[in-house]
Amino acid sequence: MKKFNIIDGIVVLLLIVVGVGAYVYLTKDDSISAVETGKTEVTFIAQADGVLDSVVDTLKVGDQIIGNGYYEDATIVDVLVEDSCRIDAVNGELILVETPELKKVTVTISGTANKYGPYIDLAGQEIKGGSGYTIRTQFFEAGGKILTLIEKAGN
Amino acid sequence: MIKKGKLFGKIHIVDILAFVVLVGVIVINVGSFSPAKITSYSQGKVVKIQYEVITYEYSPLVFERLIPGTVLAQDKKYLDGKILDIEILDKVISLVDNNGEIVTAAHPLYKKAHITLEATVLYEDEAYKLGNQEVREGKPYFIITEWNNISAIVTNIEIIEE
Repeated sequence: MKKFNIIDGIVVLLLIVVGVGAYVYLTKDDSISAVETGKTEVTFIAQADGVLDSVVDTLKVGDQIIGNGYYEDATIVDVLVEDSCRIDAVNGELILVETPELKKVTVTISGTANKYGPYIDLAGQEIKGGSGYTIRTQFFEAGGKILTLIEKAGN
Repeated sequence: MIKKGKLFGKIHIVDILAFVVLVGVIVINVGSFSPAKITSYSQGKVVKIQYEVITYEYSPLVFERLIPGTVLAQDKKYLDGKILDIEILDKVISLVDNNGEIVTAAHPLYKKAHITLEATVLYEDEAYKLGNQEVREGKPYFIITEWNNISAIVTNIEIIEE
């Protein structure tokens, strides 16, 4: 039988130490409470301002949301298109001046999202009021914000 | 000196190289747990603070879900902190009108919010840390809950319990 090599022994020992260390690191529970994961039904309102008026007519109720190259289980259930506004000061007052060539698009989206405790994402985008959000369908895309998360399953 | 790939005819040259690499890995890892860092962690203490923030301007609808009692979060976990109070404020802007006069008034579309929060934080490295954010007056701060992710600036910190 071949004689045991001390260097090989050290290598095996270190591999075991590294393996145990990696296991402990990857399985440690650093959360304060248990995280609930899975799917959840969400409905939220997103808004994009300053969208060219010539492109907004491609956005319709029933359009499916596009994720990273594929359709998501989420659709647009309401669309509101208004003129974008800028603010001017006239005779000592602030007034809103409508700019018809630019539109403010507000959509309500309902669908199934991924939930990891307090974190919810749909197509890789965080779903929280105030978060940046890109409204993306097959024929339309505009960057905006989520105004509010209206409801999710269980709430 | 080197015969048949072995140093002094006994130790294999490949084993020596492996040994050198392993020593390097050990030295680097030991560096991660150097006395300075261990001291730093051991000096951290848990402190309960009350702090206030003023948000940037948002559509009022964004603030709808920011209600007292809402628990703070970070990524996929909840934190030991909550919202105590929220007050919606005007976003005041100034523009020059057609007569050359400065008009200062509330923004007709956007509001901001003054929010009071309470949290149990870690005080270490001369900073109050809640999750991966430092709570320091004047510093940008994200109010993250299950429902919101809002940008703000910390305006006041008060230590409640040490």
